[in-house]
Amino acid sequence: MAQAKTSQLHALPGPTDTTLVLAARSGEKWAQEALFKRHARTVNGLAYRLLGRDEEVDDLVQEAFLAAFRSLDRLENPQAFSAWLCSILVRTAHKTLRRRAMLTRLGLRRSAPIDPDVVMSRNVPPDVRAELEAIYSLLDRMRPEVRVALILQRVEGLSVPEIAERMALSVSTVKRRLAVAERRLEQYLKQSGGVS
Amino acid sequence: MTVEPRDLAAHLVPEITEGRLARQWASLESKLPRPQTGPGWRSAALAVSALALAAGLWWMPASRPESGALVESSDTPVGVQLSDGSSVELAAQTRLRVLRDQPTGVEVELADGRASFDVTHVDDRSFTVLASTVAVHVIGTKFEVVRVARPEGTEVQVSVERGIVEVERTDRGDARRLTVGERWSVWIPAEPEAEETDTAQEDDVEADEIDGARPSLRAAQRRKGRAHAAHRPARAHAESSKADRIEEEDKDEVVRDMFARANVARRAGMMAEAAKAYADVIARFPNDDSRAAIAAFELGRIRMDALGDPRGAIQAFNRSLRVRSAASREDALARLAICHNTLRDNNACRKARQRYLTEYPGGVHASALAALCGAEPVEP
Repeated sequence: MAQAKTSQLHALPGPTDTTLVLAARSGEKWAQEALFKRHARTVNGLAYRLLGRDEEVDDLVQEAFLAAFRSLDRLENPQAFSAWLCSILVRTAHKTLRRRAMLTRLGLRRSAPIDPDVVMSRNVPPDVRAELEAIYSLLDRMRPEVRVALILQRVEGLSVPEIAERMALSVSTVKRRLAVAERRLEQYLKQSGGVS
Repeated sequence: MTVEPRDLAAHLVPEITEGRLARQWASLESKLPRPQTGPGWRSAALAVSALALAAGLWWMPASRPESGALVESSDTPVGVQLSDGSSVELAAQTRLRVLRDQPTGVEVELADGRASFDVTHVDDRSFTVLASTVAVHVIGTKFEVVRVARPEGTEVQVSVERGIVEVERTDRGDARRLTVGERWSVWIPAEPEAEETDTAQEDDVEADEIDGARPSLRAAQRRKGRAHAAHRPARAHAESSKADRIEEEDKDEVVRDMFARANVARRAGMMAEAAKAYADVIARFPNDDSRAAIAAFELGRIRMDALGDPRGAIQAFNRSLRVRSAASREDALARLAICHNTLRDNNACRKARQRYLTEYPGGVHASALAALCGAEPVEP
């Protein structure tokens, strides 16, 4: 039965997120799988950009989906599943980064700096490369909350209210974080001869 | 730099193959809870039963959770009967973890939500409910514990319907008794770097002290702003003030981060690392009296209690005592006398003791200090 439904999902544009969420809530595994397949690439991309490296992406993605499926009953608007899932991922990534930073400070974890060339795709236009190099060269020197806010704004292109929602922070707090990030980015660009 | 933000994300895409997604799903699927097969309490009870095996204490028709098992309720409350006759009722959306279930003691942790406990008294068996950094020790009573976790912190409430419980702040080591009809609650701010359940006394103190310090910093900033305003156009002044404010907020965050680092190291038992972190705070913010006083007191405490360095502790306590209004002042004065006593420097010990008694004639450490410094008579 589940197999037949999964096949249908592959053949058709598919049910809405609302339908899948309602089915997943009642424990239908095929609906959970469909939600995963539908949103996995988006979530993997976001995790990759937030972490700045590929190594921990799988764990972060699984953790975020697991948290989402476990608390599906709390999702008020099932059609907003994607944004809600991304919020969970952002907060989980923030926790991961905080834990990582603490372990590094305590000498319990050795951290290799992010290599922007490894993170970026090939054939990146020079102006994009310059900006991404500036951002990713700075990330490891920023506190996790500043870092996450910067990525969400400069890379993901979210507005301040959207960032506030994703990070579960007030708009004014996000503005402060971004002000700090932008100031550091500007300093870096000036020092490296880049353009702000 | 005119690139639209969306363009940047397009250039940072991980290699996601179908195989990788399949592996992610397989791993995720194995961790997902099993589907519920029935409505309401029955399915919740089955979920509990699935987790509850062979522990010897809990039963939900003939099922018992292992140590470490998580008992969860879904949309409806779940009642759990204990083998000794005690019972627990989990409200909807509540999670309870069984940490220990030995004949000598039971320890459960309320991970989230609300649970009512009706505990039967059993001789020589302790019964403890943990909620964040609050521990409720039970003798035989009926009470309720609520834990509400938010990103900015956790609220824990305890109310007693029958009997007496002892509520302990595990991070502070202080405890109080609650009797019938009494309700107690605490707000535990989230710690920047530590796990949700791990908050220490110094975090609360630190938060208070830091909040208390902000007005003076802001006043300094305003003074600075006014001084600059006399020499600059209004717009330049506004920009400068904004930059100063950002610097100041940045500094606040840096110092909080440093305290968090020190606290985590201390709780992890890495005392040398913790001492270094507190020393860093003093070195980096020597003119920030409130913060330096807190850091110096903590540094002294670690040197005295953990590192066996009474000389270093004396130096740190003296540094903390530069601030007359510091909350730790009384303890710092008492500890100063104890350190001198440890070094058998009776003269310095007496001086420190006298200083304590002058400032705190009825202080809580007065009687303990009377027995120090070669036990010479203490001036009234």
